[in-house]
Amino acid sequence: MSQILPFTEANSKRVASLFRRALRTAYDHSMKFEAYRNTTIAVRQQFEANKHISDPTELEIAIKKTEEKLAEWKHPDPYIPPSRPGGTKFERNIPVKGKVIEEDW
Amino acid sequence: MYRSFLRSAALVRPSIKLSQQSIRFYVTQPITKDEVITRAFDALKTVATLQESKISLESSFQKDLGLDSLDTVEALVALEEEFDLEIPDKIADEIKTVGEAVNYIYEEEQKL
Repeated sequence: MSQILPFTEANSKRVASLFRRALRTAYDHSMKFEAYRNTTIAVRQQFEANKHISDPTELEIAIKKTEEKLAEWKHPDPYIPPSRPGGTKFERNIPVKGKVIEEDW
Repeated sequence: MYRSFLRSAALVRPSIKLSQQSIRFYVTQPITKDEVITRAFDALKTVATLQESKISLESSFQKDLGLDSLDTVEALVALEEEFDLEIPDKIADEIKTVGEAVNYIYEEEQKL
């Protein structure tokens, strides 16, 4: 093992996933883009504050705390891009498959 | 019918200001790869840590552009906002270079 334990790739992926979810939650909650930008900076600072953590148990606690905070801030009606699954425009005009029977009633 | 409408609109148009009287068509051309690339680069320029760096398709987020993992997430989220899509965690972890991100976005745009 070349890396110190808490800084493995798996852990950085976990933290990256948390950060991504935090950014999306911030996006859901801010009506204006400017407010969202400020929130992203605040979120980033909170993550940076835990940058030094090198103890695995401490890391688990920090991750658990973040999960709790994300659950607390979870938006009831999150933003879904219109053309993506679950969005308002998703599969609105799908081409009809097969043949339309016209005179065979 | 629509054609005739358009023609009549074209006839009426010169008397009114052109900029205000534009007809909106709801079918747009499919997005081209060049467009994806230019828009992606512009979006990446808005990320604070990428503002002064030279972005190319081959540059890797972490090695060439010198971002840490959270900066990479920020860059990808900036791309998501630009193209109005959501990159799932699994794929986002796989994306290492700007070119890979552009390819993924281009493929997703073709599916619409």
